[in-house]
Amino acid sequence: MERTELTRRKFIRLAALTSLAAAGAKIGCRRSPMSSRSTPEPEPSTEARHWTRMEGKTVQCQLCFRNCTIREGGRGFCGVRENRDGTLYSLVYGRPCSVTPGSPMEKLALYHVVPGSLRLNLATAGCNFRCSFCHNWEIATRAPEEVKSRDLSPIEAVDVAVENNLEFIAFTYTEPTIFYEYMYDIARLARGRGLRTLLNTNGAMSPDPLKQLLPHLDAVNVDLKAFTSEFYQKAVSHARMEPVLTTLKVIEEQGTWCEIVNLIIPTLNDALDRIGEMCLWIRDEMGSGIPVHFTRFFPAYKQTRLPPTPVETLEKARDVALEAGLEYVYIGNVPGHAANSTYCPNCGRILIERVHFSVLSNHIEDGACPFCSQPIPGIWT
Amino acid sequence: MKGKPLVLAFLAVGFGETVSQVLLIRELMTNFQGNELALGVILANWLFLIGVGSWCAGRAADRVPVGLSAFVIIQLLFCLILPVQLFLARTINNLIGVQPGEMVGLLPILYSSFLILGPICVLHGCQFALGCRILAAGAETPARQVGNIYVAEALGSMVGGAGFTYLLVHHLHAFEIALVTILLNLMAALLLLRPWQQPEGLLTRSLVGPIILILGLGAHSWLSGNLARADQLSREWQWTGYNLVYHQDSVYGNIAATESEGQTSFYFSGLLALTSPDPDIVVVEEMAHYPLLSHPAPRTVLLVGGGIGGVLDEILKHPVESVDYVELDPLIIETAREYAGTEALDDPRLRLILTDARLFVRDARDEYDVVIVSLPPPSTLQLNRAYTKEFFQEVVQRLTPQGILCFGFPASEAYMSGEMIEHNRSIYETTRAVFPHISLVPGDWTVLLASPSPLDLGEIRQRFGERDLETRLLNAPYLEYRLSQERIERGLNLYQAEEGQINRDLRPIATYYNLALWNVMFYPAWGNVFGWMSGLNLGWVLSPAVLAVVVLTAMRGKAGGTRFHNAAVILAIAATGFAGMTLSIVLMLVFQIYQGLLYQRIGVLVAAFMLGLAMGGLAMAGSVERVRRDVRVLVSTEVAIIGYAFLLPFLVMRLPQIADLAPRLPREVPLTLLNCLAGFLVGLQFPLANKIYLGTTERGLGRVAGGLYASDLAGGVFGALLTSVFLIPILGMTATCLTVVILKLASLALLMGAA
Ligand code: SF4
Repeated sequence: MERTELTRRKFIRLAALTSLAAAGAKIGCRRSPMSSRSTPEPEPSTEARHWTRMEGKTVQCQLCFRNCTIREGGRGFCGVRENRDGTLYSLVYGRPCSVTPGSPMEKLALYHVVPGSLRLNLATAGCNFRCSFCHNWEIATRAPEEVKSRDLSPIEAVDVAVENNLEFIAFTYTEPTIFYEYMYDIARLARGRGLRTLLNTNGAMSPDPLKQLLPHLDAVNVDLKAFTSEFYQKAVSHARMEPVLTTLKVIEEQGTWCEIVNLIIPTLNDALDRIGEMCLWIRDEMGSGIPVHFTRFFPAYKQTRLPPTPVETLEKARDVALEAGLEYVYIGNVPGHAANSTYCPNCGRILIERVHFSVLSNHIEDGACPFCSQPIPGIWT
Repeated sequence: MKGKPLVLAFLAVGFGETVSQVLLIRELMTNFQGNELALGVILANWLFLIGVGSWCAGRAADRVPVGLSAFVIIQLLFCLILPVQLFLARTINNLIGVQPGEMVGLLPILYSSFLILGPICVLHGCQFALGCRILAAGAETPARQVGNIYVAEALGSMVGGAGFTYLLVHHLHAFEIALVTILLNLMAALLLLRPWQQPEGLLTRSLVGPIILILGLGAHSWLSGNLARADQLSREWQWTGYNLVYHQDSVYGNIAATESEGQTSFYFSGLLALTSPDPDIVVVEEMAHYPLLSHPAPRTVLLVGGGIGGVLDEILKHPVESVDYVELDPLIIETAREYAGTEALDDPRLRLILTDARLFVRDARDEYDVVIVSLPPPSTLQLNRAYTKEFFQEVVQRLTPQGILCFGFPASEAYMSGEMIEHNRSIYETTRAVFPHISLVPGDWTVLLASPSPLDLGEIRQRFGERDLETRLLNAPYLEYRLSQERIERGLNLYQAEEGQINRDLRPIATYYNLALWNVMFYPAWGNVFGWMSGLNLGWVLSPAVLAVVVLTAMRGKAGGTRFHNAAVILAIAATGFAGMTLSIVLMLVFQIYQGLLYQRIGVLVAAFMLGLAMGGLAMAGSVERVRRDVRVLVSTEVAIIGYAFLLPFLVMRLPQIADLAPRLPREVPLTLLNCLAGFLVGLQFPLANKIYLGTTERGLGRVAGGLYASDLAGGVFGALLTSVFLIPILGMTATCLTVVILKLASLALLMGAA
């Protein structure tokens, strides 16, 4: 009797507890605030180019300076090239994550290419660099399956540009080298349909693939991040500077239009003597007519505590570059700065008046200064 | 005989614990640009380490005979270690090899705070267990003695918390505050040893020398300025690579200014806040001119935060009649005046209001044509208050019929991750819940405009021509590009595509999204964990709680009564530790929402809780030996805590009405009392649990008290980790309190089963 008493009492207690708690649970239940994220398996889109077989099923990718040795089932540093059964595949062919039509040419920092025109931007996930100050880390540091991408064949990509009345297609945001095959096919097709193509690169592509690609490109913007190997080693996750310099030389040899961007980051790469050396190198190897952009850093990604670059630093860098003999030296990311505009190196008159990425006026006529007839290099029409 | 001085010594120990906690955590948060997740991890580490110390020392104390000298040695160690740890906490980024300026992820925060806090916390834990052991040895009322120590420590903590907030932080720098703490502890040690009474034992006597030596050293380093040099040196190390020109602690955090090539940058608690003379021109101009140009004739403007960063200068370019600028920390304005020479601060149209923005908006009488909120995204619960439905409702009250609210948030032109979309969508949805008309200018910095009347951003372009503004960035082609109808619609469509979660004061979900966004930067793979956790509901708490009760009760038969009984007591204390932490976080959140100025009053709140804890402990310690049916009493305290947690949400919702009932009563009184009561209920349990446990075990007192203390802290660890990061943002306040109810019900069920 005593026993059943106890059990019953216990049972009632438990039941009361459970129902009370269940009522509570109901109050607390609501729809999951974060809708579940779909993570589709990347398709083995297309066999990669520029790689060789090594022993067994191991392969080596030869697309960029990293020359990743990739074992069966593994991926390269960039996370978008995968060895499947001894064959290297690109996981991002026809799978761009960024398709943005209507971006101004000046935003890419190509100041000598049809000023004021608009372009289509394309990018896929992945990158062969890992900069702690990356502006596009949401796609650059992630694997294809961690990013929302869409299906867009090269033909369709060109269609998008045509539909939006855009004359240019730019490969940008992440490092286009890693979606080389996709870029290459689009560039060829685009040329065939009368469009022009632009590449925005960190310059770390290997010379062979680069030489094959350049004939299909109209202009290249190379990010020369610093003039010290140490910076490339530390701030860009064990990258190297020489491949970038080689890239610049190859572009110069092949005669593709090129502009150089140097993002000056306080304390990391703002030493003026190194900037001076860089300018001399550029003048000697690339000629004094190549536009050089010193751009202002703003806190991004993991570098949120560094202040923006002092404008004075940018101005000093520009002075150093002008002294070295470079003729077109710009300051970027400082809206309203006079050095955002283009001046004639001969007569000093203003040729293209720019504020940030808006072109207010363009006086260049037939690729030359209208005031003194000095030819101004670039693609003007 | 030794009882009284030892209890007194625990006042110093409690004081030292709180002050060193505040000092070290503040440095760590500045270095890690802390958000709630970082704070939760640091707090959890803190409690965990104290628990470890207390548990270990408890076991050791029962084996070897310990005397006062062991206690004093630990106190001495504490005094020696504190300044070292303070130095390390400040310069930790150099030690773990972070590049200057680089942000760190959760793992470095976890291990470095573990290392920095470790020695201090373990020592504190040891002190507690040792003290209990010494005091109780041979005493007739051991549980009461433990209670006394608990109370003394809580009182010391209270004095430390209040003293820090009201006195120390205003007059002394961190190393001086540390020294005050050290001196106090040394004097307590002397009081314990009583050198003037010719103490017995070689060890005891030989300790007096070092104490006096350290006392002298401390005093000398203060007077000779070495202390100030240590402060300066550590600051410079902390800012390696920067040219630090100014640094100062305020109640709200730390302000630092660096200078380079004619540019001054200001950091508030380690976060880059503004740069002069060249700010981020894009953000500054867009934030000011879009709303002012959207309005046909703005006369009155309210600016919340960020003014000295350049927005103020832009606003004043318009022919407005008055600008009310609200900034929380007066030190920010002072620093800006001195180092940035912000001329706008002297404009006659400007009215500077140094208070909490929420408080100001709630109590304001004036109406505004434009309200600009220029604050960082809702990365902390404090910042989140400027992005909630309740705040927007208060803003609407202060807007003229054609008035406009404007704020901005980071987005991306290139690609928007799921985390970012959800974060921004929640803010968008919250605005839409209040404002009938919304528009936005998409970009890497997206500017959102909201109004009770229809908005036409096309008018911005037209008015820009008419108003003849002198701008660096804005011009006709730029506006044409940024404000193209197609771009605006694309931006709106993105956020309208799905329904977002509304961000509320008492359910700050945007903070959670922001944490997820921050975390994925370092650990992309954790993105799924955050997504998965966001599905959290009370069922997740309920099912394991019920399961645990059922399983444990079923096992009871086998394990035997005493062990089950003791397990029940331990679990009850752990659940109470959780409840104490969670309820006080809830009350702080509520205080911040209704009262603002949390940082100024946090000392009062902590002190109120501690006072309650001490009173509860004292009340119980006084009667614990007389109590007969102690399990009964413990059960009633459980019921009281459950009732409290259950009623708290209702009371909180009625706070405005309560305030109306007694209009003369200062508004913080009800909340402070509630916090005190929470502490009281929690405090009642500890001495009682000790007695119950002691009565049933052969184990020594040190081990029992140490073990119980550790389980109390373990509960606190979970509370610290879960409550501010997951429970409150995802479940909201009500369900968070219900979580406490469920856990306590489970522990109650176990206790009753044991009885
Ligand atoms: S492209 Fe990718 S896989 Fe190939 S070498 Fe470079 S990083 Fe390695």
